[in-house]
Amino acid sequence: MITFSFTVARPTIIVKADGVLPSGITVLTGQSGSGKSTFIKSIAGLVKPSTGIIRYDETTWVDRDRKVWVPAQERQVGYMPQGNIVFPHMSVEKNITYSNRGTPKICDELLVRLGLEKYRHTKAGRLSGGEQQRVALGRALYSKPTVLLLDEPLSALDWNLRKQVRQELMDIIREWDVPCLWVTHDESDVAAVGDRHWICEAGIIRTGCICKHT
Amino acid sequence: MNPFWLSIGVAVIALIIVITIGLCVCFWMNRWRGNVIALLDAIITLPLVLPPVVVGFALLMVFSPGYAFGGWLEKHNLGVVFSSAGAVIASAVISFPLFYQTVRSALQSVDHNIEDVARTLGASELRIFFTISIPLAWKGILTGSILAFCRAMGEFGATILIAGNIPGLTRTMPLAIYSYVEAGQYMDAFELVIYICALTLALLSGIHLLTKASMFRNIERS
Repeated sequence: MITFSFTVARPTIIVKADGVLPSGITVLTGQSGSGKSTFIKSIAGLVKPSTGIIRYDETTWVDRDRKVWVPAQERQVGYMPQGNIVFPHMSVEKNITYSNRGTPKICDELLVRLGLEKYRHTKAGRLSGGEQQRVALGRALYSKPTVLLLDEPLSALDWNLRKQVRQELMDIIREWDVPCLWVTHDESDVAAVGDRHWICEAGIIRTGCICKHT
Repeated sequence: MNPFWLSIGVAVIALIIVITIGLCVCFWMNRWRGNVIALLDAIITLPLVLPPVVVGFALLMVFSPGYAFGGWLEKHNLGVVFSSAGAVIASAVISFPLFYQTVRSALQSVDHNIEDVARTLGASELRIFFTISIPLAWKGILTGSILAFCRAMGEFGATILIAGNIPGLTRTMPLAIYSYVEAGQYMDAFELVIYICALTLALLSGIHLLTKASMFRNIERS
């Protein structure tokens, strides 16, 4: 469980967040530029909060008062940013096994489960958008993440592909039972995906709304 | 050694030095967030805009046996003034900014999100640089290398100051052309001009063809 209470002050935006990220899928919505990506990057260890704390269970990842800072490399979070985010020059297998935390058995399981077995040795940059999203998810899951952070995972896809890929990602995340924060600006994702709904408004993360899960 | 092969040899060794040091500097400059980055960037780029003869004079001040560092090198039989090593150093210093600017831009254009993903997967900065940044910026690195090689091969001003114009030892193609013209041997000079133009043209066209071929491959894939 991730507990956080922090502020990120940047020249363009101030993000304030206070809450707990429990198990299940949490959807975070908000307008473009409202601070969703900054929030998710702070949890991932890619942006340094100006003040506050972030904890994972008993481990402190950030405590600015005590000058504690655990870098992204040591947090073991699965992060999927926006856009085409595979390593395009590497094969699908090399993409998935980029982290040293997994085992060959996990890789085989993921390739089968994600329907990527036949593309094992294909360069990831040659795959379609939907397949690339599955590679990115597989790569994140292979690293045995404590939490999955998905920043608009469907944004690079055509609208007709979105529903299918969304269902695939959702099914796999639930199977692997990893707490997940799913950032989107598409309101239709809220009811379809999330167990709960957070809103980001002008940099303030509002937590606590329960979704009707379908 | 004749001027053609001497030029090639000097340019190849200079390029190896430029690539090795250049990649280290680019790695450091792209990751460092300090305030003096603009000043360092300007200092590194200086040889590109200064007259080569000024750079040559600065190198002479550093490596001349009459001064501390040059004297120390001379004492250990490592003197570079009026030697092929001097020509290599002059070529490397002059061509370095061209490589640095091209490669740094190429590395900066790599999607930072991809590097961020690698960080969350536990990869060290060095591993990210070698497995993600360099492979994705290869076109820029190749272009920078070819430009640096061409520049090193055509280097004149700094070379003549630090390495002199010694036949077989430091007389590279540009220096040989200068000597031939001075002696009125225009046909010999013309021959070398043709060589240097043809080689440079072939290499620069190579960049264009390679980029085009890579673009077509990407279109085919998509």
